[in-house]
Amino acid sequence: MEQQVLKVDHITQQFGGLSALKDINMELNRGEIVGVIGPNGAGKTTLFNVITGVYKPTKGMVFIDGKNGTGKKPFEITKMGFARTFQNIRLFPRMTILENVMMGAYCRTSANVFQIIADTPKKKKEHIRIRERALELLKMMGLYEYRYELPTSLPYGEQRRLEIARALATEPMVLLLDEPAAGMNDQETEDLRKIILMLKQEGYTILLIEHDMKFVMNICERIYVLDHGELIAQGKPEEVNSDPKVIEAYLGKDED
Amino acid sequence: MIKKTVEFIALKQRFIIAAAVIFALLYPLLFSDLFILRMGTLCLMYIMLALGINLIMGYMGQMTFGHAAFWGIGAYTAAILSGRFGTNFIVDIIAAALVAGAFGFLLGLPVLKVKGYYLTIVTLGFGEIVRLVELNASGLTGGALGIRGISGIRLFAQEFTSPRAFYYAILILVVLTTVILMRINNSRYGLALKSIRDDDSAAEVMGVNVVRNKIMTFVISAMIAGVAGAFFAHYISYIDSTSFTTQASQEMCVMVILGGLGSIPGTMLGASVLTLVPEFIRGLAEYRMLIYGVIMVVMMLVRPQGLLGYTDFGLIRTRLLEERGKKKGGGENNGTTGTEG
Repeated sequence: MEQQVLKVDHITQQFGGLSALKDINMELNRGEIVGVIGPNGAGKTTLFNVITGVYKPTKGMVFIDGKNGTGKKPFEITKMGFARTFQNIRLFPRMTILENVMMGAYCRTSANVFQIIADTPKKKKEHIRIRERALELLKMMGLYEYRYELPTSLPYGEQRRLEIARALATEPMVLLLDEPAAGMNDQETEDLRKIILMLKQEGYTILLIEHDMKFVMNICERIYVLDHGELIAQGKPEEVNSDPKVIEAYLGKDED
Repeated sequence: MIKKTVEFIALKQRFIIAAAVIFALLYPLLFSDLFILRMGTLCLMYIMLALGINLIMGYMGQMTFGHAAFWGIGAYTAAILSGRFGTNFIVDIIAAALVAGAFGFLLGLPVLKVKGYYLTIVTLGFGEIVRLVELNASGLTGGALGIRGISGIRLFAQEFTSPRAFYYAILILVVLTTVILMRINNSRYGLALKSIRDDDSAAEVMGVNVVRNKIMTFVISAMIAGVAGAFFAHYISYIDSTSFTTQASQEMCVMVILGGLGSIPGTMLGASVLTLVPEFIRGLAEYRMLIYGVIMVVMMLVRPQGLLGYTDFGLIRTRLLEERGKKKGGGENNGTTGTEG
């Protein structure tokens, strides 16, 4: 049975006079891998920011797992089960790689400041639990041996993997990946593809923004195409691929 | 060379901590000279203040130039309470912590939505306002005359006034502060603070309520300063607003910046050096602020995080031990990260 985990309902986002998103509708079902593509400035990252609560939409609603998530704060959205990565990698540069991943599990811990200062068993247990979980995720992502290094010492592709590990540590239902393959070489892209397929097998739902058409066509089950803030096409990769509006958006209009 | 020394300290840290604690305990017995004992006591008090401010500057990465205000608020609270109601030391400390914490909270509410330089400027202003109120609210604070004749440490129906009693009182407070900071450092709260320091909007996406954590940190830091203030009032037995100036705030900042942002031993080192050195080279006393200025500039250029800044001895130790474990028999050592660093 298909179960809807995200519904974006008539979202419009305006910045002053500029409409970054115009009346967008989309949905995401459990276990799917869905792509959002479009040329630069099409509004893809804005859409992510609206879903994750960084922006409050001008009009429209966002439903997360059937619950209203419109206008919620980013940390509340994370707690509701949406984890994201950033287009320009945003790790915590002066925390170790292990701490970076543990930071992801922060929203699944609850010791308050009194319990922390009193060092209660609950706090200790919880801290050990997120540490173990973080180590597990690092092993899964092949970053275990660097756990005490700073993230800035990792090559680019591995920083991306670390960001995914950190997102997974939040115990998400849905992963939102913002241009995960950007700036990667062919080998790194291939590794990433394997990781995403593995995550799908583990039952994660994935929404990804991507520029690399080949990558998206290979991996996504459904695709939404944005251009100038409007949804111009949606459907299976092969349908979208041959849609004249999409070709026009990417290659420009024929001049005759 | 430096790396070897750091590794040596990291490996021997338990021994070094034990030695330091024993030395601190025996200090008043080893040195009977009153001046030396007084230096030790003041040194510990500044360590306490610097540890508190390090929570804001080192862990959370925000600059504050008004911390002497909380120190002063704590001192006046204790002086007024014990003078008018004859309260005992424990009550004074708790009251000072609560009042200073309340001011930290009130300052935090509007202020912590701003960050960086704006926050620094507001804390600077706050420090001045508090000092001016202390100077002018004569009914409550004695105005320019200050409050004199503050009692010693009242406890168990006795009054302790000996220098040794004061020394041990502040030693206990410093140990408590250190333990609290270590526990915060090794918790979800510590993680949240470091993530706010590194990238506060990414922290928010990771589930950190940034504003709440910032306010809480301000409150805790203010409480620590308040308790140090309560001790100060009883120790000096005379307070007036000239102790709690912006200059005092800046001195606390310099201690942390010299010793090491986000490092407990670093803070202790910085506070000790900057309390003791000027006293032992009295001839240079007039150049104190000049020297502080030079230290600030040089540190900012050469090592902006401070001598031991962000040096986590616990982490270095865990790493070294795990490496050794691997070499020996491939056995994996999953010991929890020490936080002594």
